[in-house]
Amino acid sequence: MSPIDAVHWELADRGLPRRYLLRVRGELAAHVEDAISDLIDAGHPITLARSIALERFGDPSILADTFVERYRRASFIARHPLAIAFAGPPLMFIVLGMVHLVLFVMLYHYFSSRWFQITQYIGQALVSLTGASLVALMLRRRLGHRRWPAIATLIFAVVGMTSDLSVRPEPNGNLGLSMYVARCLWRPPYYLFFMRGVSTRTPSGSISFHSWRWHKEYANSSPK
Amino acid sequence: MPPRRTNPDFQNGVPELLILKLLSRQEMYGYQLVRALAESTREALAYGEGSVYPVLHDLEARKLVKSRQEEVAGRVRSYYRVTRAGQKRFEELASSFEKTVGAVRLVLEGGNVSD
Repeated sequence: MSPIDAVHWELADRGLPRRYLLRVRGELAAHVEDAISDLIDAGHPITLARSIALERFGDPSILADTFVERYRRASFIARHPLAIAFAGPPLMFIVLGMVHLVLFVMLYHYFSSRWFQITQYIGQALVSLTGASLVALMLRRRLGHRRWPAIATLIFAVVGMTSDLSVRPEPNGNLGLSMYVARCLWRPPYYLFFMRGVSTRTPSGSISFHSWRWHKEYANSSPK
Repeated sequence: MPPRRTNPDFQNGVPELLILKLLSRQEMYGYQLVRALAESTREALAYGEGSVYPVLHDLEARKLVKSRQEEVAGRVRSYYRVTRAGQKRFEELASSFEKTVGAVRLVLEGGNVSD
């Protein structure tokens, strides 16, 4: 495997985005080609030129570490993990919740009322699953370690259990939309644990909770 | 020949300083920058040449340099140039570095840093 391939796969393993990998690969390949051309022009045979160019290039594993460290350090997420872990889940829930509501307004006339209710529950579960995964992925990709993604998914589980998204017909014939996020903030604590958590009226709560458990297990089983 | 094992950040703060200085003179692509570094330091600094790229990308993410791509002889090259914020950062780094060098020189010459 060439040093450039080694750097590429190391960065891919560490979760850096594909677009960035292609950029790194392109620049490193052009660099080595330029170095080889210069050395050949200076009178070195091609095999020696290649060998010298790769020797000057540096150790691929150290280089990959530097790319990862610098890439993560430069991001907003890496500089503000606490804010992202705590504010990210509710914000993501709101954004995806809006998509959910718009979609279900559009779908309203295609379902019977019973199926509409069931698909709304499934939709909310998907909102939680997608949102929890997106926040956790963002944090993992940018931070490398597992603790913040686990915390973010736990918060998402709480947000999912205590939030509601619904589209329902009103007596006047219009459609009523509602989005409650983190309702426990203005409900007594038992409401969170007994009315919603245990009865699992909202499937998103349990899905987010399992997602958190998965992230937590992953955190415990992975180094750093 | 085994690859050279070097500290990629060859010295804290120094890569940024040197790269910003060289790019403030003219726009350069990575290999050109590495050659310019080697020539202007008379090859005194040992570092893996590839380690210039994470530094460049970091500087770009911090908006201290800007890049543009251009295809030259079948190779896509990224040309980097310093931004106004980069120029300001260079001046701060240079001033800080001068102070550090002055302090180290005083110690090496046996003087007191606070003199």
